[in-house]
Amino acid sequence: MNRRMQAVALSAAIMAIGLGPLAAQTYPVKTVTLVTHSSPGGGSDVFLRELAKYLAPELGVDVVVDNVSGGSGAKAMAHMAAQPADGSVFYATTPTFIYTSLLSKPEKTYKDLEPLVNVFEDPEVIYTAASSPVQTIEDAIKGAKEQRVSWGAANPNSLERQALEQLKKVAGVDVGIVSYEGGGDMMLNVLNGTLQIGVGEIQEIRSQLDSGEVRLVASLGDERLANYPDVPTAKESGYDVSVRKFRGLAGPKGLPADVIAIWEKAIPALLENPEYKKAYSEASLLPDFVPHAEYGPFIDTFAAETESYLKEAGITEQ
Amino acid sequence: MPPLSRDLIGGATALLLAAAYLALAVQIRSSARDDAIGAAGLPKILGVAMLALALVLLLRTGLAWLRAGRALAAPAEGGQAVPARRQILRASGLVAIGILYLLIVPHVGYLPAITLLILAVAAYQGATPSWRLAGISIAGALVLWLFFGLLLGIPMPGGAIAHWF
Amino acid sequence: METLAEVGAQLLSWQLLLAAFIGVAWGVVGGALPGISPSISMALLLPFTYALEPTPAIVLLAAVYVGAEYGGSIPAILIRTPGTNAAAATVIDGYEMNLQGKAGLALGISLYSGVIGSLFGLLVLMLLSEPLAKVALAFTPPAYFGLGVLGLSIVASLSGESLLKGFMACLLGLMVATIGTDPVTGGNRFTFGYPDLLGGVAPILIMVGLFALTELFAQAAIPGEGNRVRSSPRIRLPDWPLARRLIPSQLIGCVLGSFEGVTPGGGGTVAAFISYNEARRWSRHKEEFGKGSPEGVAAPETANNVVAETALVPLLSFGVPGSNSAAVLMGGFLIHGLLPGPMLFQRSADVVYGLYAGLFAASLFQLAVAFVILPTCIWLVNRPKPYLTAFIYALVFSGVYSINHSLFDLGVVLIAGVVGLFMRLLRFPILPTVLGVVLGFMIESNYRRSLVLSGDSHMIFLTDPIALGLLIFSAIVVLGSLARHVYDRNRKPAGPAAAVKEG
Repeated sequence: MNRRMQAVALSAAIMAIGLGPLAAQTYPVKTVTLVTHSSPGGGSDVFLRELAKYLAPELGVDVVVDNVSGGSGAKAMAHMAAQPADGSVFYATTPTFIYTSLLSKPEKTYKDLEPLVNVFEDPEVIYTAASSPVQTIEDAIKGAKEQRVSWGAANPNSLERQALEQLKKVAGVDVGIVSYEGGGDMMLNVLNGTLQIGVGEIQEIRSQLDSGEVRLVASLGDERLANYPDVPTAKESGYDVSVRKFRGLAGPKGLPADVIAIWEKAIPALLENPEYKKAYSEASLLPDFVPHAEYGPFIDTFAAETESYLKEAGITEQ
Repeated sequence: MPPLSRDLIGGATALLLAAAYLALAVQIRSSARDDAIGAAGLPKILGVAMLALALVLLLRTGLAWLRAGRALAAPAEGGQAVPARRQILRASGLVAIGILYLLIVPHVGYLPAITLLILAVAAYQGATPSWRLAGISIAGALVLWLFFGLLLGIPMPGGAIAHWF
Repeated sequence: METLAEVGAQLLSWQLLLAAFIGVAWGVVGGALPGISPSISMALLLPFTYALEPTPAIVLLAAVYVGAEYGGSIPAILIRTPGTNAAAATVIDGYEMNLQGKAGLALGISLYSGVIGSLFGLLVLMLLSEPLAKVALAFTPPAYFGLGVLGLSIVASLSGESLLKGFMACLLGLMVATIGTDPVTGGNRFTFGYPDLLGGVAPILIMVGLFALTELFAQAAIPGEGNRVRSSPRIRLPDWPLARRLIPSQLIGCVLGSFEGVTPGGGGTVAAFISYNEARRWSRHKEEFGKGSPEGVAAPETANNVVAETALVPLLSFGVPGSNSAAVLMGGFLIHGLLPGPMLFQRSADVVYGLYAGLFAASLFQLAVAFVILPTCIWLVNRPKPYLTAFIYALVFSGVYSINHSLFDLGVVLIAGVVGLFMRLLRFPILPTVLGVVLGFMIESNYRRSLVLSGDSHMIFLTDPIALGLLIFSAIVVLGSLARHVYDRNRKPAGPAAAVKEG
């Protein structure tokens, strides 16, 4: 039986026990388009396509994924702001769209969209090469005080970079923070010892984690990761650094209340779907449902924090 | 165009470009995250290098001109069959058609706009206006639309006309 | 040997062969359309692979990559438009051969070299993955800086009549490359508030503008058919004497392509240009380069097809995609629940063997696909000039729009075309500009990254053995071409610029 048939069979089984489509509330449109700024095969794209597979039977609609790439999300935001607010189009939110809004000040920003709900947290971790002497953050800081070391972040403007800058500040060390054009390039530099530690998403280093070539040093969330219970959080180790890479959805402004209600029921139900749970747990995504009422303020707070960070660093105007 | 005036124009343009680029480069915001080179570092180096090379080119041309004033009056090289002014004039027509395409395509949509583009360029390049030309333009546009729109599934600009369907 | 047996067994699967064929055909067509890069061709097929079994899905995508790298040479030769970045070096001699009425032969050489490159690259991928992965791992930022400088070092030999103008043209390219997000601080540079410029100007836009549109604009003033030579719509594979003559340049392409492919970020464009330059250096017919040399087509076309295979080394060994195309392929793996990287061989060896088998089939299928579509392409470019010009213009505008679905990009291409025309009229060479655009970001980001690593000490470029080696090699290349310039000038002191028709 192939994967797709499994999924179909499974959703049929779920329907039978009554957890399936919310038959009581029919969705107002037949096709839901999920827009992402990432190109096919990229992080958000894979997230959406996986989500779409399970979402379609849950909502009882067709779900298609549309890649509106270009301008680091600026184009996707402009596209979204012009769409009807009837529940037919949603955008995959990640910290990127906040960064782009703040950095390039496009015509349409995150403020022109209405956050719907959050779905996942993509946990960020600090890792190092298996052969490195660094076992804990403490070791890394100590090493940094003894000689010049460098830490790596995937991109110059990213949550990873922000986390490292925070760590540098709270630990009071002077290290070089090197950014790359993607998590993969950076990982090679952690593996060959150019970088003492790197920060990235579990997804990017999963293969090396499994083969034991890299070792996790700390996680950067508020709680330990279920898949890696032995890895302490940075906070536990005494360094007040915490970031939350969110993955959620947003729509055009003025989403109708009934659409929001359906999503608020559908997403938690989806996160409990055993087949989906298996898929996303393997990818080390943490279910992180945030209802509509809280998601807007969450995004605003996140944006305000990022804005002050960018101003402090002198990236944007005071 | 004689070689000397060619280099004179080239050098002067490069000089202006370098100056404009440098003026923008010094305005690049310095940041707390700056490294030793900084975001403005390389642009400044490039701007200065361009400025210097442009001056060398101008100087070299000036010296050559002093040495042999007659060179300026020398006939154009044989390699260039068409005078530069005519080349620029003819080319600007093509560029204008391109700009027109950019202006109309968001409104009328891909298929009509690209048909008009083919029609206009072919006519401009000397195809006799005829039903045959119109037919070829439409056929060419359809082939392109089949490839890009249908086969590759690229969302080509729709325009107002697309809403009628 | 075990590998070969496993791969051979996979070749019996008709699903796999079908996937490889469709992939190659799609790739050749996509690669031949200007603007549609290998990665876009692959991304367009990605959604269709969800429904497939993992092995055919991966083979389909990888075959597109192989086909696209070959396909890029078709418009490069026929209409002076590199279909892909990596075909830019093919334009130089390929288009020149076309002007001499030898389009069929040029296409035959690029096909033949592409197949050889693909097969060689596959062999390297199967047998030398492990040592090459070590090479990739040893590449640190200073080494990448060295690699970028090496690429730039051939500017002097691509400059044509005037070194000074060549360097100025190169500076222009480097300036364009500084547009976008700063690689270290993340601040904006020269973006003028356009979000389209945040990610920088894509090199393909500049290439299509400088090569294709400039040619159209320059041709606009030549009335009627000019002195155009029609090509016979038959592809000619090289005969034995010619094939023998091509061997050294193909060997150069194979070796350089293998190394460039495994270094993420290096990529096919640099491999093609360096191979072109080395092929000229070692050729017995140096004088033909730039004037329609068959070796000038063979070297870059071999190299970029080798790269299409060896670029999979970092992906399969580390799960790190070394190029946009490899990133899409990685998406294909992930969507099927496969994780490229060190555990892939242990967990899903059959998929890897299937991929090898598919790549082998795809390499050979290039021949079949080419023989079907090439006559049509040659027929098309033999149409009356007004129609041809109009169609190329429309094709360029359609293809470029497809990259980002952006009219802004069309504007950039148009500007590049106008700049190219003036550069041609003022006798500035455009190849150095292209190299500057391709390499600027890589050189700057790795230079500054290195200095962050070393705490602002330039010693890091001398203590890193790979960086040091590459920089010394670059110095040799620069000195060599300078020496040749001086030598040439002394030999014919009266020569007022033997019009280099490359511009």
